[in-house]
Amino acid sequence: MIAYLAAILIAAILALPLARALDRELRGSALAGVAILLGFGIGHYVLLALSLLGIPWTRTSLVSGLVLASLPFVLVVRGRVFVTGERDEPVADTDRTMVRVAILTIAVLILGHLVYASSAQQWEWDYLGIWGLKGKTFFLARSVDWTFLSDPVMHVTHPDYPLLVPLSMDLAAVFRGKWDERWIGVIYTAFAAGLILIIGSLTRREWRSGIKSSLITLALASPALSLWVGLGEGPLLAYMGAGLIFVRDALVNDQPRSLRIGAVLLGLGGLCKNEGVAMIGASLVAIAVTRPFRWKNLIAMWPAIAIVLPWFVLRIVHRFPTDFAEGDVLSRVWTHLIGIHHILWAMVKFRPEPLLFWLAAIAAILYYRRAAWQRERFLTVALFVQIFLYFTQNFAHRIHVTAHIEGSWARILSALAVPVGYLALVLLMRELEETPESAADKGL
Amino acid sequence: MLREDSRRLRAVLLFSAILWGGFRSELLDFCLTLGRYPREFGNPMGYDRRPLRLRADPLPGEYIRFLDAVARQTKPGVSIVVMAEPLGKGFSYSFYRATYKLAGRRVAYPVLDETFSQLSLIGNPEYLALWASGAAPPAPWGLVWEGHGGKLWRRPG
Repeated sequence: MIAYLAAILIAAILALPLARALDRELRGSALAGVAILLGFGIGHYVLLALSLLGIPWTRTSLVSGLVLASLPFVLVVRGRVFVTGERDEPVADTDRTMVRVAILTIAVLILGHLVYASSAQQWEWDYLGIWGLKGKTFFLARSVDWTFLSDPVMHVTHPDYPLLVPLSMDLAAVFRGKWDERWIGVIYTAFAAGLILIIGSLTRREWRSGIKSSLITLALASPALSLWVGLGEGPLLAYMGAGLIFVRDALVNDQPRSLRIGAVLLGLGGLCKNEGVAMIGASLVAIAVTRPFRWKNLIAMWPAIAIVLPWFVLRIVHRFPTDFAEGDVLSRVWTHLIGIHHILWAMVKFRPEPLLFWLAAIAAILYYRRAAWQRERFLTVALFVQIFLYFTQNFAHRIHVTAHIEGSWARILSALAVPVGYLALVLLMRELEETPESAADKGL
Repeated sequence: MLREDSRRLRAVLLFSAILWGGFRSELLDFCLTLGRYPREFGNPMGYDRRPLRLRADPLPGEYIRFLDAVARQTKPGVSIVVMAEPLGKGFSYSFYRATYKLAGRRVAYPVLDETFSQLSLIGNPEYLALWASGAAPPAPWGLVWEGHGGKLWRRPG
């Protein structure tokens, strides 16, 4: 475990300059959280670059690559990587005990997830067939094995899926010098911890209250700690959740620098799973309908597209097939449309968990829909578009659609639990802050 | 005043429901029950919408040890078919376990019958790994190794 934690820490430290370059004001837990998430992203690109250059993965080549990737950003921030400057503005709470209890509970939850994720070897279905298989094959080859990905016999591995998740496993394994399928779970706790640190910091800055911030963070800590260890959902959840929260921070709280970080994190989400690519599109739509509309906000999202673009070029070059596009798509869609009641029933039967969390969050968003549309339009529209895309993709699926829903519906929605919960909680927090006079003034 | 109170109460109740509903007390349990997890076996043949890691490994330990032995007996790059008679003839979850354990090799989907007549359809693999099966491939296949309830066959040349 020590080697895996050291790998994550080194990658995060070497990602600090990029985090600071994206936002010079970033500090404290937000800086730590962003650095953890960026560390995996940079590590992915270093391993991919080494593979394309024909350089075998070794501890030396990997660390050299990470240092080389970090250097330009050290120059950009003029070496002020570890300068933290002034702390965030002080919070107004007097009850520190409640804050301490909440923080302690969050820390124990993270520790519990670490135990859960690393108690035994991975045996999740999609870990064996997709994520872990790719990671292990690449590690044994000490390179991305394009022949393996192109082999029709290994079609089950979904060669069209982006490589950030298996390469994150390889990042730690190359540091360790050994493929260890038990301690791979540690990286899943790290992804979640990065997201939780970001939520804690951004809510503290927005609400100027340790109690409010720690309550929101506590409410979202469990959904952030994905139980699907070894799969793509944990990293996707972290990047999508953090990316959406940063972009929302930029638009709602007028923090332009948050837009840059949000775009980068959403781009990295697009390198986890195809759902992450869909979220980039959903976010662009949401920015376009958010008022006041500004072209510069839409243009500022270019890093998200630039980050996923190389993978799409590689996909085209290697002609990796995509499930949804194979065969007679229109015929499949028509067949599934005729049996739409089966699909809807399967979505209810195999609903996401925990049920109370989802019901309460959806009830809050629906009840405060006017405030959601007026104040939180970006997050509301991005989530609506994304869930609509999740719904429609079922109609083009190749295998038995209800079996597909049974195996994936709850899991793919679990990756949206944090932004859905975040939207509901900020609406409720705003409602609790509202005085009757101010609510009447705003017509809410 | 009453209206204001009910407005705040509604918000507090919804906030509490999200907090309580999302809280995973089992994560706290994992800190307290080290070594006693997991307790329930998963389904070896089917999808499960709950994470399998909340349950025990559904495959027999002997099958896992057999796959490890096959990995030691074969070199990376070779092609293998794994058939496991009691585990749905090696399809489904046991197939995915085989692809992972034998990473670096081409693991083809198992043949459908016991006459092995369909091997050409999956690219004529070099090895056949049969677990808990009384079947034996016809000549010229030769037995390379056996143990952990299974046999490894190889086609010469």
